[in-house]
Amino acid sequence: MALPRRLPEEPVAAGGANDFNMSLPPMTQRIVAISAGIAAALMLLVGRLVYIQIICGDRIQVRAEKQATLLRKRLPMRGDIIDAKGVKLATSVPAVSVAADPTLLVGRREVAARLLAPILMVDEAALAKRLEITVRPGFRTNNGVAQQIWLTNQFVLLQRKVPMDRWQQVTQAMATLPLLVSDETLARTNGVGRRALTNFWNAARTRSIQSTPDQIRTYPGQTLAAQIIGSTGQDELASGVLGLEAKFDDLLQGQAGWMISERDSHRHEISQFRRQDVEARSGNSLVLTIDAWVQYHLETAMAEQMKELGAKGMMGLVMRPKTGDILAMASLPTFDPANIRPGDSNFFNSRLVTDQYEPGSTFKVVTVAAALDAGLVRMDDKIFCENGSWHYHGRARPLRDSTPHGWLSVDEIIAKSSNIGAGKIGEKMGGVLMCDYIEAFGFGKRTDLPMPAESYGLVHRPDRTNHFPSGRVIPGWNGLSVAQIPMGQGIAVTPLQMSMAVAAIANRGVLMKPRLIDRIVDADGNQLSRTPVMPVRRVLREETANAIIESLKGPVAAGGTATRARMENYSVAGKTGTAQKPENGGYSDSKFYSSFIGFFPASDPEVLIAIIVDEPEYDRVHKNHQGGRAAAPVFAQVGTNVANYLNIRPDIIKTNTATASILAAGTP
Amino acid sequence: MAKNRKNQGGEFRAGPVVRAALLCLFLGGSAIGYVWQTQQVAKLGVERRQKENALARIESENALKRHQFDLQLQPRALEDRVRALRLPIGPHQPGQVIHVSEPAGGSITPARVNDGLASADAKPSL
Repeated sequence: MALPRRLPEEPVAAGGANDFNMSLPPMTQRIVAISAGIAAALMLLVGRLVYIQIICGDRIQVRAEKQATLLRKRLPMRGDIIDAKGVKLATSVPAVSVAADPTLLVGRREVAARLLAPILMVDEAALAKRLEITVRPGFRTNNGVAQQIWLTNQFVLLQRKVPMDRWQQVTQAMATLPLLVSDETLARTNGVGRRALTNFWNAARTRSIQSTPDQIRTYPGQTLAAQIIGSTGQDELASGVLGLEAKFDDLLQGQAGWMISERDSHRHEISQFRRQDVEARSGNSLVLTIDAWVQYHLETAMAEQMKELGAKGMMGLVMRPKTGDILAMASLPTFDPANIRPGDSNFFNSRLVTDQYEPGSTFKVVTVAAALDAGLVRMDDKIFCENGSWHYHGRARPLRDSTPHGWLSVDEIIAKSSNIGAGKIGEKMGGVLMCDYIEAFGFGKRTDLPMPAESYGLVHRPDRTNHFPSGRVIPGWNGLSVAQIPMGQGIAVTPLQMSMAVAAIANRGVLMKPRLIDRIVDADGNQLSRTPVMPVRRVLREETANAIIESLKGPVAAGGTATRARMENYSVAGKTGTAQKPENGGYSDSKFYSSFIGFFPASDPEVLIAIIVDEPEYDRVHKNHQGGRAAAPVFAQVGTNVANYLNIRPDIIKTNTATASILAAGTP
Repeated sequence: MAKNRKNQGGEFRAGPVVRAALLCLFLGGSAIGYVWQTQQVAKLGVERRQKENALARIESENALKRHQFDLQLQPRALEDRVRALRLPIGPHQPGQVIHVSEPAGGSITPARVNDGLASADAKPSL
């Protein structure tokens, strides 16, 4: 038998394929090959699994959680500002911020702009421009490596603070926007495919305009008490920027809540997987001592008079002297907090607390009260008023009275508003004692009314150099000060300080702390805190205050400077002032602060009203610029309305025809 | 003849079949129950979300209505309304006020008190 020939140049590897093929049956070989293939595929899958789960696990987990997690911020509603009777002066209503995704509005940008522009009240062309897709380069870090990417504008904020009814109009209008897919394409697709396609493009259309929760701060009274209430910014929390809105921002703002849950592929929340749900806590509300009706009467009367006088501005205050409660406080011109215009910034603050002015004759009340209280003069003491011109200590420029007077009692000095008389009383007191009383009345210090930017006023001690918080340094009184300050020149006070000083007299000598915030309540109306009625100090003895009240009836009586402040059924006490405004290092002859500060009923003062007119048109002939003519009529008008509204018991009862007829009918 | 896997008897053994059926039923039932429960949870979740949305919408509408009410309570709005409707209301004028002075000794005269007491204490005549 011949052996198979083996060529030496054809080596056969030991255990090679030929051996394997020869050693296993074909079926087994196939099974092994397929198994090996499957094992290799499995190994690949396991490798990929290890890569995804272990190597990239953390990173992918973060991405997955980010994609599936829904974090929704719950916006707190800002608290209200309410008047003493429950009328809302500032409140918040739910709204939305409207944004667009231009990438989902491709090809329908102009149509969308045409639909939305009239609803959002914006220019159509400008809106269409904003809906354009823009692409800009950006960077993203991937494993610590910066990569350049292209960013599109998928979120374009169209408008903030859109009311809910307008948002409904937006959604209704967007529902009419044609889908990006053509009718032919839809017609070519059948059944489930068409439905899916329609759903997809519907969803894209819906998502092209989005909304996020927001709130609108509204002021139902429009300009009413605007400078007290202030205004808010445009952010979603409506943070306060002016007035009480700014001062009590933390209290009003509330606390945001949040909700953490999971979302599905349609970005809808899967509420069963909600992990955290914390409700927002609405802000607390401020209840003011302000009464909207009194405020309205005051502002209306002031606006009419300001127009009549052609004045530059006007300030007014209505308060309860016994408690210090401020019922109304206004300065004109004012602004609309919901619609701030560029020129409004001059009127943002309440001038009653921020402005300081030389009070003029109204300050004589303080001078006379101090001298009486110190026992240096009596009401019936006679003082020679130099027939209208007094060269104080031989000075070249004399102190003058508008009407020359000879001998006047202290009572008459107030009634006739004699500058020389007040100057002589001041001289009698001396600077230090005078200044002690001025400070006791609260001048030169803040009243701590919770309003931003309250001024200190400018009161300087006579006996030393004065350093003020503003950094200003003023030396002690000069030779003329002791005669000048008693008549309200050379001293600066805020209208509020002046009103509080007169209120102290009306309150039988006790200076009160002004109250503007009555209480703070939570969203459910539960009281959290209350501002107490707080006396500051006794400034005058009660009998001095009573005497001054009696003498303050003089200006309103016949022959006085403020006869126009008279009220029919109430005795009025008060003082006029016509202070020249400082100008070019001296005093203007045609620019004045004309004022009247008074209270009623004089027998038991319930209401104090201060009216200050800034630069009424100078009237050389009729003297209509003077306090008695410019401010006193507003006092009477506001006083009558307020007395009726507050139902204040009259102290002058006249038997009118109606009363007489009833009394006559009732007589047997 | 010995019974083994290849040579089994012809009789039908119900026990294993029942056990297998029960096991299948249990497993199938559990699976269906799980799916049903999950669906119910999802359904309730959707309902909850819808109700929350409805509540938010109602609260928003309430807030708007409250706001409209607040607007109507404003002094300016009330005065405009009074003027528009020409209602004869407004602050009273001093001439409209009737001042009645109260008697010094109290609101009821002694004679009238006596009358009242007398009538209250009077016994019915028999």
